[in-house]
Amino acid sequence: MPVITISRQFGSGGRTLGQKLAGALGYTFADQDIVQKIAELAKVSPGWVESVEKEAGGRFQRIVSKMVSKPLVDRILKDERGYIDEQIYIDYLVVLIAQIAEEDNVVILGRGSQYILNDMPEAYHILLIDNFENRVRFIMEKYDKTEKEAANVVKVEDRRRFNLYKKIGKQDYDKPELYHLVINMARVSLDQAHDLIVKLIKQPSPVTSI
Amino acid sequence: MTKKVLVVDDDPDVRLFSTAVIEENGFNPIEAENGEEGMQLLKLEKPDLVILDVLMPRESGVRMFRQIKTNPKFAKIPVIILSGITKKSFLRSQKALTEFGGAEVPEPENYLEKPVEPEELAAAIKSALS
Repeated sequence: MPVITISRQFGSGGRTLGQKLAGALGYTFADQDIVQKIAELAKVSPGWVESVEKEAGGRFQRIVSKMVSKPLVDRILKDERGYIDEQIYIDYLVVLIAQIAEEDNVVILGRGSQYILNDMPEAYHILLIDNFENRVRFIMEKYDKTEKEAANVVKVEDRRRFNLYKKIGKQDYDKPELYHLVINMARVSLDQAHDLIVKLIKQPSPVTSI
Repeated sequence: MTKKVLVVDDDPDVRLFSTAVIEENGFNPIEAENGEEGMQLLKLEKPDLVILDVLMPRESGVRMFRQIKTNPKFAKIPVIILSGITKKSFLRSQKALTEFGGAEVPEPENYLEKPVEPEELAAAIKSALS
């Protein structure tokens, strides 16, 4: 009962591929659901959770965690009696990803899942890479952005990814050794990537040692 | 002196259930709604046992458990995890947090998955306090 984690350089098509795989295999696709669940647990808005994700290690987090006390946050957000910071986010994240994986037949997009599930025998870890220009082009086409906007989004997301992994003490997230399969999307189409992953998980005896 | 048991759970029904079981078995229950409150009570009341949920608002049981087990003052207080999260997932999450730069922590003294029967909880409490 496999679990697929997809880590990716932003704009290399990870979300699109994850949705396609989940649809074809009848798996659950875990992406925004994780944000929603964390928001419910923390009793904050999904937007706040996304801010923590996007600004990991950044300005927003420093403001919320250090300059604003929890009671003050409560008073400001009268209808939103919760609180979240990077540490709380990570605490929820590790438990939720572990629990989602227990339920099998799931594709999990990013969020450190390749580390959290690195010793799970039935988990397959995939990394998608691509060059900057292609990733910008992908974002332009997929999200109807100008070249400048798309380039900015890719740069911001690359920095966010770096910051998020830095927060958990990881800098080797693009190392091939962490993964079962690394796909260079500059040379492989989305359909080919899909077929490669399906072929991999259909193997009866996965190699699991890392 | 009656032994004190701290129940930390955001669900009032679970707190009601756990405190009833604790009282029926001759112990003194104390309640907290989340890990943050739980740690404050732990420091004030110095309970003999903690019954801890995993996913709670403000501060999760994941964090409170690590705070208990990494503080020499509290590390010997037994902890029963009572949660809808499976033991396997909880242990995997603890392992991940250690790998992410946190301290290594032992397994909890007992782990009960919700829903739990009163007899099962009572047996776990008695065993932890014996």
